[in-house]
Amino acid sequence: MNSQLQSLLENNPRIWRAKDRGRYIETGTPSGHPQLDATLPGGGWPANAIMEMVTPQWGMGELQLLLPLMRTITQQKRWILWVSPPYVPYAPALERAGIDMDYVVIIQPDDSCKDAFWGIEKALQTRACALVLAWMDWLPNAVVRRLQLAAETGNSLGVLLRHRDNEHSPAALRLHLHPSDKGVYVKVLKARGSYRYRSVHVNLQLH
Amino acid sequence: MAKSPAVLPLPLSFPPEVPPPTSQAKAETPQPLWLALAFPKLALEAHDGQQRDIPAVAVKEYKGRSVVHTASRLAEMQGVGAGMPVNAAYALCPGLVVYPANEQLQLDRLQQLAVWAEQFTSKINLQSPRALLLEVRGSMKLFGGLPAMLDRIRQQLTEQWQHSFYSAVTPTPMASLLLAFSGQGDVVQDKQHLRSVLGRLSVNRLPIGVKKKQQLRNTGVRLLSDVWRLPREGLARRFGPELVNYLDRTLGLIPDPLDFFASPDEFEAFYEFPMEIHNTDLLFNVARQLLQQLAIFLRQRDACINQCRFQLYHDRQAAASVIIGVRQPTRDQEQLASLLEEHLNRLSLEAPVKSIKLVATDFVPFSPQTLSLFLEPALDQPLDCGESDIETLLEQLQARMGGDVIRTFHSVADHRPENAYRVNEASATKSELIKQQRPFWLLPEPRLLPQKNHQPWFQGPVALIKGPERIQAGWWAGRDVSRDYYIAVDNRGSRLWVFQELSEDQRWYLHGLFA
Repeated sequence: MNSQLQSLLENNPRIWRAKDRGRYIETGTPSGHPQLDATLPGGGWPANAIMEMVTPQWGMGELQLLLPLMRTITQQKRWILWVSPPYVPYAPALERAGIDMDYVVIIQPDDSCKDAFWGIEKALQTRACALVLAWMDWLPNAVVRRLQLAAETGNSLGVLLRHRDNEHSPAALRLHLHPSDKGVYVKVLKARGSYRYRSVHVNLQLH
Repeated sequence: MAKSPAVLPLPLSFPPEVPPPTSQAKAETPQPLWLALAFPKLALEAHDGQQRDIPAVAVKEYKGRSVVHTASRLAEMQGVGAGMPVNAAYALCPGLVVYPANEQLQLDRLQQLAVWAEQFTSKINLQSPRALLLEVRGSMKLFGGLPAMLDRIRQQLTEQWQHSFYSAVTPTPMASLLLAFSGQGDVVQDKQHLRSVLGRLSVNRLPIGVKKKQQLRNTGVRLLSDVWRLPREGLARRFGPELVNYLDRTLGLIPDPLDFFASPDEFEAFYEFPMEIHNTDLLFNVARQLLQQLAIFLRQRDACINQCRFQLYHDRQAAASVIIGVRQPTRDQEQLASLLEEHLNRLSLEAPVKSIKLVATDFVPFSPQTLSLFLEPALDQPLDCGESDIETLLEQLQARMGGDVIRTFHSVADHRPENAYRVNEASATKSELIKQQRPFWLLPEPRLLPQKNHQPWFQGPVALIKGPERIQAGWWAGRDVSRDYYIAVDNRGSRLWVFQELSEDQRWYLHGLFA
């Protein structure tokens, strides 16, 4: 092979080749759950990306999974935006879990999806806002792709929580959550830079 | 003996040579330098929608007839001139556009120009109806010398204001005006050269009555250099002391005090559209220009604003107003423009807009943010760019979605779960409650669960796995709560927070979810 081409392929971190997938390491943010970190490429939540969590219903431990991350972020005095949460967030419980509610902002746009998309995009682009959680079921792929770009600009993570699975979603990481007695089964549906589609059981301190 | 002729060949000529100023006097007070800006077409150009590239005239009533007051350049090229009856002008130029010559409009525009000129100097004099005087000696060094400053003024006047104008710079205000209105564009820095420069001008340029001009011409005086040769006493006797006084002021022989323009305490900018518009895009472009004027105004006063208001005027309908508020006082034009854009995107115009006005009244002193002396690379400090960044985001969200959409939640010391959080208020008391086991999701209202075999039912049977925790509180506040809370699991694996009323019929309620 042409030596110039060779060096380009080897030195450019943006080019990913299937044959040496071990080399591709996108450093992730530790999720705080060792079992999960071992499964996710990069050893944690992806940085600057969009992630999807598909759960059949709310209340399965989806927030518990994100708790350590939210704790770290508010300790760093960066902001978290919640978009259209399905219920009222219970402040005492979240504070008990170590989240500084001073850095959590919740927006509840009325029915218009456009406003919500726009808000998510703006928040992802804002550097001070490190995490955006959005409870939205209807998200066209084009919008997800756009949000992905916004997350890269703003160096932030966007988490989309939804009931329905969209196989063709361009999100960087897609997880399916399934309840269990002692925690939650996390099935990796798609992870950028990895073939390992496996599931893992994460123990959560439920009570 | 015959009467003395009109012009006496006296040896003493008018005025005597100015003694060169001593170097000491020069060092004490530097001579002022006046820039005169004359706007010959102001009566026409004061109309906002007036296009510069069409034949147009401003007309005025004179002895019951409409007479051309000011003609645009293209109209002049077709032979239309000032003083011509408007019918004659139409005959010469059929496509003529006619505007009324509105004095108030001219004065307003002159004041706007004066406010604009305040960025160059604080000493500004309005020469109504159509000229401005700016003292530039004090500030020309700041702008990189006189030529650079003049270039800047010229550029802004042509590009931003699109006014046609003449300018001249001399040490005395009256000489500057004379030269500017004659279109000479001179720059005279020294008083001693004034006489020779002004000498080229015709006496017709002097601001004196037609009769006196005629009288001057009859005596054989055509140029100002001829006047310089006349004896002072004779001139005063024949043409009145005002003329001599005026000439003295023009040459700087006697002081010429002027009132300086003081800009108004509130900001108002107005734009009248040439036609009614339905489109918010067009509206935004004009509003942006008004915001630019506001930004300049604020920078001159070192002030910033908390809010400003746009008024949209319709035909035969109440004006609509758009209020743009910011969380932190600002004078950033881009920030205001982006907020306005959000407002306009949501706004549906009820009727076509005829004109738009921007008003700002309450000003706050500007307190700049301190920046670091060394430019740190932005990537290394993602955490540091904090507050202002998030403020902008929240403002934008608020502007687009309305104020009550954004909330924050804080805990409050109360044992009743539905009272243990507070919306949108920062609460300092973190209670013991935090130590207890609580779900992350709370339902806005507890939901009544149906019962089957004395067991609660939520999309299937519900199994209690932990509890009870008894909460009895609030009887003093009218919302009496006495419940036994349990943690439960439904048949699909969701963890629920349910309670049973201790009173009367012991019903079951769902109150939260452990997510």
